[in-house]
Amino acid sequence: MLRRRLDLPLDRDGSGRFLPWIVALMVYLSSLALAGTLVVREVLERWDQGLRGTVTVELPAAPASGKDDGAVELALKLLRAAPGVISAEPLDTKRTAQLLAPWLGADVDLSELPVPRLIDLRVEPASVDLPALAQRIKAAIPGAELDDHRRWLDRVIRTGLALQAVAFAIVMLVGAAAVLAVVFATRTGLAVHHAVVEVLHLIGARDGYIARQFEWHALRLGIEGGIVGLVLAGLTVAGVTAAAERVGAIDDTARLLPLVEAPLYEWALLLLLPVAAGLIAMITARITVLRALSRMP
Amino acid sequence: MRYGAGPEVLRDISLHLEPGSFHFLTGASGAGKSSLLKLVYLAERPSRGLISLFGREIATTPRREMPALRRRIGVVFQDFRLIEHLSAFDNVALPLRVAGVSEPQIAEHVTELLTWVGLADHLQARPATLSGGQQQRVAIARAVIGRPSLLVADEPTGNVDEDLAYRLMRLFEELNKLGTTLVVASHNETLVDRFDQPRLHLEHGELSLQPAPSKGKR
Repeated sequence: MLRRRLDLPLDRDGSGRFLPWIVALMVYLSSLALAGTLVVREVLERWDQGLRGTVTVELPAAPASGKDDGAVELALKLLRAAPGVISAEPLDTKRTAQLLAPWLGADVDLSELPVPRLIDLRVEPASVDLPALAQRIKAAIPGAELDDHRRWLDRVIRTGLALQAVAFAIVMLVGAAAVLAVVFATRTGLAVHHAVVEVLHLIGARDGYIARQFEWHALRLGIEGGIVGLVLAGLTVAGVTAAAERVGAIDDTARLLPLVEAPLYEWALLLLLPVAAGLIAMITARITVLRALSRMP
Repeated sequence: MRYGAGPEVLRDISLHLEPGSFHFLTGASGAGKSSLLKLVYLAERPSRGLISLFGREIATTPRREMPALRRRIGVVFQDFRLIEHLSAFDNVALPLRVAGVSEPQIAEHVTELLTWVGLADHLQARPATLSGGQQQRVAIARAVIGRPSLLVADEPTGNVDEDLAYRLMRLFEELNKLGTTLVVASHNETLVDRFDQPRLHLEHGELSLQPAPSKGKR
């Protein structure tokens, strides 16, 4: 692959022997970090879309006497009359019990507990005035709360963004380490082949001609290492997914660890990592060689 | 000229080479012959002083124009400096390849020249498989393949027998007759005496010109 006739026997010395493995490791780590970023972003977008336009109204628990205090009816009337509200539906006891089941168990009798009454509200985000609506509800029904999930979601999104920033920093650090590895390998190659480089220089080879020899070599090693790293990362992701499915972390109803559902083009970006690794190696080698040659007479 | 912070190896050198001239550069071992040639073929820069080649002042010539100047200079290195992993053909082809000559032209010219120096049967031979004399001829072929205006040879006969040394010098004379300017360093006084060419003699880092003998002693 990418083999060209080289005046310098770069394939035969040890200067670049470990470079493909170093690049493989870098691409492996970068792939996992980027894959993690894609998954986190996908999850956040899904949550954001799922919760956008939904608001929960929480009314105080019904009186202990069991007598209807009319709070639900009043709230529904107010809510349905407000501009921007698409629908307002109270959660029945059965649905409320389902929501509380993870904490209270499936067999609990909610009528014996002071459980808040919930109303599921669907709104048009552009036309609803939630703060005004909240004030009106509170004024009409003391103790009523309106939760648009924003506070919780914002915190989750901030955490997600922080994770993405960490992943990006990892990719940058890995890239910097790869650049240093290429610089070191190229300098070693220059030292090993100094005599040949000098002959080429003296017979009138332009610096770019000599640099190209190292460039192509670095490009080939970078792409080869990158492909190995990407394949290993793919196997790791597949292994983690399979393990998560086995322990039940992934299923159709509750996706704690979501299946990867990012758009294909985003995953295609991952496939470009070996090419990027090759190009980074190539450019780094070129700059390193040109700097070294500039010190020759 | 000095290497790093070391002592001056050449001083007060004033040298003008007429186009088409042929000079031997003589002097004892360590006199500075190789250092002077390095200045001429642009492998070193003088610590002070000026070098002008082909009408260009080297110190003020932009770096991007130096390769073109170097292509007008052919160099036969003392230790040949053949590239071990390349065949005789590819070694000789190098100056043409770096100059961007097309492969068909390279094939034609290199084959013709290697045949001329008696290596037609060794086109694909690696330097390590060639004798000292054969390597010398490959090195000379590489130096002249680009039809340089100036040919510099540093002890080109140091590793060959007397007969081959004489033939190589005759080859240089032929190239000179074609218009190539030559500077050939040699400490072999006996060999140099057989040719009717002026000498540049180096002693203790200082250069003196000795005119050609009035009559060749061939």
